[in-house]
Amino acid sequence: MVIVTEPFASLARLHARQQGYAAMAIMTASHIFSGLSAMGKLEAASDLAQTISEALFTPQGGQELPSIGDRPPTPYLELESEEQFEALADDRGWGDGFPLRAPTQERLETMLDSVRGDPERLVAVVPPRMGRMSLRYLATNAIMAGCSAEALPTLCTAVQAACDPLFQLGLLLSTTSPTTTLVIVNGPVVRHLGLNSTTRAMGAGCRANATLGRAVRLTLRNAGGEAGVTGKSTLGQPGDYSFCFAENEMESPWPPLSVEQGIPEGQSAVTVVPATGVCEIRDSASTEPEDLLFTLSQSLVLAGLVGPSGTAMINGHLTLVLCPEHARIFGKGGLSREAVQRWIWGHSHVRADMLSPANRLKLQMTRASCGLPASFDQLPITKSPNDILIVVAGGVGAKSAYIPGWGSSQAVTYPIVDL
Amino acid sequence: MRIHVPVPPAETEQIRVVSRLARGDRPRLLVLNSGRAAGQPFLETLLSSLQQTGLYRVIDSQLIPSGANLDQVTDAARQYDATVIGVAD
Repeated sequence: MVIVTEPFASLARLHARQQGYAAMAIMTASHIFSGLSAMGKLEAASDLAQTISEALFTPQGGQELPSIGDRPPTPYLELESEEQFEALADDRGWGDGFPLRAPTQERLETMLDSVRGDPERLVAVVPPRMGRMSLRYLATNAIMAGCSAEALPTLCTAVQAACDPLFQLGLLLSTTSPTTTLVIVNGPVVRHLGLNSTTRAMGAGCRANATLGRAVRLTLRNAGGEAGVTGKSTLGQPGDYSFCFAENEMESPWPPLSVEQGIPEGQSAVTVVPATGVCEIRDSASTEPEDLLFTLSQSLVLAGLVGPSGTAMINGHLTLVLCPEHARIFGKGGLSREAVQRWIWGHSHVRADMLSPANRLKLQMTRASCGLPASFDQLPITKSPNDILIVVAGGVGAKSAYIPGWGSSQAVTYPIVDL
Repeated sequence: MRIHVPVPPAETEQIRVVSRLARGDRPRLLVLNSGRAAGQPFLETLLSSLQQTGLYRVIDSQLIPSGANLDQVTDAARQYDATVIGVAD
């Protein structure tokens, strides 16, 4: 039996079906808990407990629940026009709201022209829907996003990295948080594809960044999600459409991010990063590492980002995107990336008095239930300094950026290989 | 014109655990998700109510942590031949 709040019932059925439990009993409760006082929660829980207890004694075997959005696999359709495709894509929820390029037979053949071997070969199983992503389906989504054929191996690698269990894609595509998939590219492929790593690296204007990031999002949504079932983010965020840039390796004082993540120097690679938003960190006055470190460390602490673990603000990775001017200050000061990570981690804490009494109490209860001392004076921003990912990007200006992660989701780096 | 569909077929795993519930038996073991903090009072009340029936035994309320994926849930169910109760938000 699964007990879920009403907005998540369809998602629970999807999970149950994918796990082979089509007959799983799913009981729903109102989405009430967050808005109720402690006493109100107890009263609501008491009312529900009896019903749930009775339901547990009701045999469920053999009772097939209706599956959600289950259509027989139809790899292609015969349509009259691209306009008809657009209308169909809107109806089925295949797109992101922007116009889509129709994945015609001719375009698909062109896209797959450089691929060796069988285009039907499986490249990823994408959670939570567990969509079996073959190269052909990947290419179909790439066409819809306006992505070039040259970018297909990079797209494939990004999708595979996002499906690594450490990234927790299934949760990211289901949560009420707005976390999206940031794609950071390193290595020779950056120049080959024309990816932007400098001015407006995260912004609009570069076709390669925009279409690769869009293709990743469309692929993950279409293979891993299901219209009307997944995608429960309360507000969403602009990075839902596309979020991709390259590291500015030329202006970084350190080895590339991919090398830091264990990929050999000179090997192109993709890092997927959980990205809950982007916040500017502005400091044009600091010229010494210690001053800049102070600004950075104070800027990463946000009471509203504190997760439910009770052990750190964020249990997974968070990302600091340093502009070249800021990175240069550390380079001149002889600070390694690791030293910057360590300093920031040691000086960034969420003090208990920054949290509301209700939030403090909630974390204390969680800590106590995990066998930790309930009381705490402060929480670190991450579990360890290594969980602060540092990448260099952007153009002129003393403007860096903070990209918080979500839950226990970790950044994942894969090398790009030919298809 | 031929248009390719962007949605691949989904992989459905075979049933790996046949729970007592699915067989129509009364559940005798219970694994509780710790839930997120907002659902904690609910879980505690539910736990108390179920234990009072004398038909359930709580194995470990922390066995399946908040945010666990279903693989962990099914592994726990298989290990204990248990009915799993979780609260999701």
